[in-house]
Amino acid sequence: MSAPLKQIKKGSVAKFREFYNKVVRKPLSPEDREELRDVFRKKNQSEQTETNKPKKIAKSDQDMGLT
Amino acid sequence: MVEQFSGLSAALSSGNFSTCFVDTTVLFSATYPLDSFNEECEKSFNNLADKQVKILTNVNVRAEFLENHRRVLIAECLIDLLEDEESGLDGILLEKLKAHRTSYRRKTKEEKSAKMDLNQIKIFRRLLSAYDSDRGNGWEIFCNKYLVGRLTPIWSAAEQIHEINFISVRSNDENEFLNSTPKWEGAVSLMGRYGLASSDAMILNMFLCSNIPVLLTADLEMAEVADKESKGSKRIFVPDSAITVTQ
Repeated sequence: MSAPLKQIKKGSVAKFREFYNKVVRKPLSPEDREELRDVFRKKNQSEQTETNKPKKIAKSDQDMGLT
Repeated sequence: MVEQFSGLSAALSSGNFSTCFVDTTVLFSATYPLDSFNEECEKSFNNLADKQVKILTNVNVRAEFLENHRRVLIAECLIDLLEDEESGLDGILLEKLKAHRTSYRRKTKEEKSAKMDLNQIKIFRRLLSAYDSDRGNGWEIFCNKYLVGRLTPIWSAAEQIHEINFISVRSNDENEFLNSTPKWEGAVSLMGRYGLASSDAMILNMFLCSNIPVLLTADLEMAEVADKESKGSKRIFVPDSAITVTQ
């Protein structure tokens, strides 16, 4: 014996719209935003560190006495 | 003949129908408030409720439904990421996110589909993956923070709120909604004869094998094939504006 079928009720699309706006459009919590910011901050910092590092001197340049 | 949603209420009254099959396009429209058919689907779903008609669908529709929501949600989540973290972003990722936001706003203004192109998703996956942290790469963290909490509850909410019923096919199972067991050959034949996508062909094949008398779809191609294949034995409805737009 199969289970009886469920019956759609009037106003279901409006109800889903409410769910969507409440759950799906929910902004990130301050903790989540901080964690996210950390990820991008780290990348930028590591890029910055890379930029500030003295450039390696090419062996051939040294050999030629250019530095 | 393919009929319009505006005629659904009268058809349900005269036809004494108790079940209706909804495809992905309609279910997606009914669950995505920005979709251009959202209001027309709302009226039709209210018509179904008024006439005590039950909604049925299948696993292929569920898979396509989730894929469509994934593609609109990633598009929206990327904009949220840009607006939340613009000051921390730079380079090509920042440029791409800004271009995406402009394109998304234009599409929604023109009421075009906001579903993100699969290649674009791959580009953002690659760009965000370049960011690294102890908890995973930037793409994984982006998904974890923005996407998972939004995508995961969508199907169960849709199933619960719209009281969706499933037709499933298991071998040796008799199904009260099926006149015959849908065969893979039937789906392939629809693909070959009409050039349908495999998922659409599987959905349509199941509907044609069923005793469900009504199909709601927002896909005109699907509607026309369903109408032709059912040879007048089923009623096929599309949103009025889907017909107007193509005329």
